[in-house]
Amino acid sequence: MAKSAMKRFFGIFGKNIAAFTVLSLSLCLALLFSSCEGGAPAPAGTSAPASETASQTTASQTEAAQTEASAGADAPESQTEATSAPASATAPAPAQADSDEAASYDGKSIRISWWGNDVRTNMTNEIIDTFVAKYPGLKAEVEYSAFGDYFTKLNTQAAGGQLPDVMQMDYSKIVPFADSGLILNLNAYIDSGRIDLSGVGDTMVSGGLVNGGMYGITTGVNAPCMLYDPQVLEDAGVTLSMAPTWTEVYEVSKAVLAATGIKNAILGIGWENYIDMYARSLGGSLYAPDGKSVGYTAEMLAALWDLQLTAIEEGVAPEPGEYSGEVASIIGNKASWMIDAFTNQLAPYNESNGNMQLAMCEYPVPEGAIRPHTYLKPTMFWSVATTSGLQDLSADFLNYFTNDGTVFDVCGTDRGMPISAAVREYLAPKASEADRQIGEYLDYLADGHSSPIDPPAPAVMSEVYTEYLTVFEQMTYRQYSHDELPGVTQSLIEKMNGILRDAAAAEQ
Amino acid sequence: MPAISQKRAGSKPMGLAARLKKNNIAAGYMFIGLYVIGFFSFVLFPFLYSFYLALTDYDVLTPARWVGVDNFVKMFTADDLFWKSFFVTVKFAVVQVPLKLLVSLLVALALSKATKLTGVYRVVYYMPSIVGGSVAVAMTWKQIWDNSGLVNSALGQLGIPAVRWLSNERTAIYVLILLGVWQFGASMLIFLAGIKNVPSSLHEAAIVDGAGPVKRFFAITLPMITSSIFFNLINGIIGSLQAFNSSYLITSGKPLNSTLYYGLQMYRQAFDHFKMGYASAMAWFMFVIIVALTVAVFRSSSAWVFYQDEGR
Repeated sequence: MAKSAMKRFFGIFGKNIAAFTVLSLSLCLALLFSSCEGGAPAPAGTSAPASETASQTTASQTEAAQTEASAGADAPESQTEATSAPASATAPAPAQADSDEAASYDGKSIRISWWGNDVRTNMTNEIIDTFVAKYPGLKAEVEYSAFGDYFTKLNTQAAGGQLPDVMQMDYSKIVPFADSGLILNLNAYIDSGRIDLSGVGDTMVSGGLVNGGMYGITTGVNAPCMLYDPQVLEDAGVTLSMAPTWTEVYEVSKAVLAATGIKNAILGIGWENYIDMYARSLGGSLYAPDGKSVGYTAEMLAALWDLQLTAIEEGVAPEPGEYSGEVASIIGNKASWMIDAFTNQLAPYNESNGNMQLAMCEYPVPEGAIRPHTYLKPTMFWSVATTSGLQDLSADFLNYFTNDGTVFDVCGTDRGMPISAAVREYLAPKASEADRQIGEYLDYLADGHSSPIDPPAPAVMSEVYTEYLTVFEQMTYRQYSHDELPGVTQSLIEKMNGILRDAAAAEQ
Repeated sequence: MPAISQKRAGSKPMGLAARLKKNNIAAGYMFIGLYVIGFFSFVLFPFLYSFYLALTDYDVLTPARWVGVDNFVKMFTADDLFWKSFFVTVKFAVVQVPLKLLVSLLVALALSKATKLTGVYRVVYYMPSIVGGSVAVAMTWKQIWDNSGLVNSALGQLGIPAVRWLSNERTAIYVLILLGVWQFGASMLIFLAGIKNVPSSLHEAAIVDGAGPVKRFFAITLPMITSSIFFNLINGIIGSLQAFNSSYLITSGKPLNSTLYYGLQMYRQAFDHFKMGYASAMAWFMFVIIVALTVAVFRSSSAWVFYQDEGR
């Protein structure tokens, strides 16, 4: 019965059943192998311009540079002039691509990925829609996630040779990605003017340089800062200077606590930027320039932690686990009157904290600082994958983001202060209160209150930071007395240095 | 294939297609084909490849570098967090597995009595297991045990001061264990089936002999369902040693790494530190532990597991 039913069912395949089986099996196998070989560049579409096809190979750098040079040569010469004189009334706009070239993207799809919150995602989707609308038939595939998951995803895609055409890149990751040949050296596109940096200061984009090649175009500039609720200080009758010392922050926090009952979270947080800034003000850094040790001493760490431990003991800082909400809304929730941030986070933080107007100051430093500690940082980069089949178009997107004022009409300063002077000029009259505040802060920093940013942290930083956080957490749970801190910090630093040395040795 | 053609060597020559059709072999291969391909590519290949990776240093971006047994040496001798996470997981398993067995057995017993609402109860009690592994439930659990969550509000009503369940080194792991125990539905169903399979003649005979319900449970029901206990025990051990979700989603290993499951530490090595080789080595160590435990439980089973059909 069952057999005849089966026979009837397979009768529809007739004599071709074997052929069908073989065919379907081999199809599956072919699929399998093609996905396994993701590391190799995908074959180029036949309609792609020859220069793009050539530059897909992840060959040696010199070879890649040559191919890019030929790719850049195709770009029309006239592009460089178009953006030089923006009228303040209309948005600065990069030159349009040739119409015949635009037509060649019909049926193609450009993949763009970034990290960020919903607000950024909506804004980015909007500017990408505008971008692809310029190329008939072109589609966009967007991928986004929270920062915590972004590089997990990107590394996995890199391993499979499936990186997006254009990806948002972080200062801490651009070196390993460039060294591994995963992202494109953009020099040729910049030289040809296809990515027009004529109105951009060199210092603005230097963060994207790796061994002399530009591997990412800075999306904007920001700087680390402290955000706080000025109203609380007023209520407590105290003031805070623009570059406070830790002692000052501690004293002000005590006064605020007494007057309002609000604590200061930064006194109980083990964020590595605190010790980074602490060390920078004394001539050190988070990591030594050779990456084989940390750039601060046990004395510095012990002094900072000693103050933080006192703050926890006296209830000026929250107990560990006392606040379990979102950090972004900690001020609005009255769990802290101060929190660290980057300048481009001001507007979102204002919003998360009930549309508060937060005030801004520098990170606290120890007494006896010998140099300005705050730095200007490329907020993030746009990079192009070497495996991308649409490198010319990707370069156009980077140019669009850098030079088109309408991008910033939508995105504002979410990815930092725009790097193009023309765009900044265009935006100035319509700047929001937050933008104006950020601009003032960045001007203040540029005026002798900043020092150059340190090189990106070594790749092994996440492991080092895990050690740091583990011991810091133990400290906040009061597992060490004040007297023990010098010894604890000393052995922690030895352990972190060991990890850094091992990693450096393994690389050679 | 060659074996088949040899067998048929004596019979009259047939075309390949015809032979395949006659024996329904093609249909058979087709039915298992997708599974076999899936097994080879998504189970066997990654399984073996991870063993190779365990002997390398691999950060995803640059090619794997052979380091021999370095990963294992470092794991056993120089990694505090490896041992910390291992013992956290052992503690988790030792508490959760018996507790979950007990709870699911008790609920199964309660639901084995036929009443009008039994069906409803079974669905209700099984529900947590269907949704339990999900992110949403973990987040809900987090809310319930939060500083100002449901539990603390309830305690507050009774005049008991709030406890920071999730940031107290002593309590956090038990919040996670409780979540695991609450998802008893699958093992409950298996117990229920086992209990239903106990021949009623045994109970009737015992009742005639004057045995009470407690005596009957220990003398009849419990021995008769040892095979269900055995199955649930093995599943429980493996499941708890591989636990990941609740720690990752609710506590992220905090406080003081007291909820740092082995699975979470492995994930961090792989996807935070991008040490794929090291993470693979950790995976293989846990694999060996699980195999050893499973073999031990299987060996012991002849002493305490009773099969109605004598195991045939």
